[in-house]
Amino acid sequence: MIIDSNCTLGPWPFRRLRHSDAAGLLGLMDGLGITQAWVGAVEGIFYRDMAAANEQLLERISGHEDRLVPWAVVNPAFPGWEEDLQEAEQAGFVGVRLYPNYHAYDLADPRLGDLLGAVKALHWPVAIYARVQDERLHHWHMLVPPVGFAGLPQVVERFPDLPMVICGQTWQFAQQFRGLFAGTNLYLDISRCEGVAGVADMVQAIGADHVLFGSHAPLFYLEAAVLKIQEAGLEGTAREAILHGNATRLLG
Amino acid sequence: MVIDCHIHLMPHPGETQAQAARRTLAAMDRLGIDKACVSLGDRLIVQPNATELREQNAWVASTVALAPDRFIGFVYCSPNHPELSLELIEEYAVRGGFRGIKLWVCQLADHAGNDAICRRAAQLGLPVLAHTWVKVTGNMPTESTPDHLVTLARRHPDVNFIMAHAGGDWERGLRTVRHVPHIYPDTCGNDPEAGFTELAVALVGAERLVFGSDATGRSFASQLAKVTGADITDDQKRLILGDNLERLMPA
Repeated sequence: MIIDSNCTLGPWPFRRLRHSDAAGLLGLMDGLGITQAWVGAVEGIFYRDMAAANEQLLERISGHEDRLVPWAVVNPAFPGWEEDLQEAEQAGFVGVRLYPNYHAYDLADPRLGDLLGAVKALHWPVAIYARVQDERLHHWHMLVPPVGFAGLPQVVERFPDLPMVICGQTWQFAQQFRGLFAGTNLYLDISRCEGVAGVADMVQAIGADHVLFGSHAPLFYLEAAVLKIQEAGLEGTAREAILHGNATRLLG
Repeated sequence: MVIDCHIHLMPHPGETQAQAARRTLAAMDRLGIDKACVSLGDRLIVQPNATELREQNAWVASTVALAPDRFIGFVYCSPNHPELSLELIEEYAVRGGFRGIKLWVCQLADHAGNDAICRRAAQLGLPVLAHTWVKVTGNMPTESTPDHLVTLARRHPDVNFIMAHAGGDWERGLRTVRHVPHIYPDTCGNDPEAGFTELAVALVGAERLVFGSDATGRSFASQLAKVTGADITDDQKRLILGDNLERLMPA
């Protein structure tokens, strides 16, 4: 059993993707033995109207909710996010995705604290995207800096029990913040974990209980995440935790 | 046979060369990578002086000696030191069994200092692996784009060039070299963005794409998946994963 914690659906504005609809992603998943994928709307990265983006996602996954589990994109720096979150809860979403750099706020922003408090009240998890695409390859007139994580310790201190996934970070990041993870619900996905057997280095730094299988498909080749697990040489409980155990626990 | 055209053996802090080599070979084993071409040295030096250039090549030679059936050396040359580069080619390629040349970022690829290096590469039938990137955030002043490599390649039509990173901005890089048949893009050094290999096969053909990972900075897995996860035929994958490179290198 494999749960992919990091997938998106919808047209990427800067390149034609071959598997950006439900049928395409499910085809990839079937080929690689992926049981379930957590999905968010690409439009949520770029729209102002998050409710519209989330609604499009639900339309896309209609009939496939058993395998494509929807996460709502919410922007705490935009008016009305409280209503967006409420609508998402009523519509069957299971968690919240955040893009602080695309939505122009940082981790110290008090509006983020308000949102995380509301998410905690729902007993939902939250995913913070560190990067969507390598900055060196951004569009010439849409240069989006990576998210700064200097404020992460304060966020974790304030919300120690909140299930929180940071997507798109490295094993070096895991080493830098290794002291934050013990006793928390903080996780890293492996979508941008590089280096030779880099996932093993990430596990060594923060423990397998804090690492999630995540591919960033269909922007990335889904197979990359599968091969990273193979490259790391992980076995037994550590492998099972990363492939599905942590994800299952995270969603309760 | 799966051959990686582009790795650098750079140990973690506190790790010995032998330990880094074992860790690298173990990862290759888990993924079915038979051989890897090693270049540069134990660290990245943007402007290596003569002593550093010698030391970095000696590091690669001692890496190859740890597993000569798995590692293939590429001679690290510098257009800032063309005479020394020719000496290093004699020492490591002619007498030492290295099977390619590496150019990195000390000068742009079309620098005149590369001409003597390329003339010797042509005589010996050595492929030249040359760094290229186009960064929207800005290149280093002496960091080549695919355009610089095309200029060099047109001066040396009898040399086969491997365009490292497919230009970084691969949609641009692949188009830039599309009609320069002796430039072979490699697959490595950026995120495993979907569509890369399909576009490369469409633009330059499977016969001109070469698998590389840029390990140990990059993951073998993320770069290998660009090929194994691509919607292309098994025959095309075989060409990219090893057959093309084997054809480019001298025996």
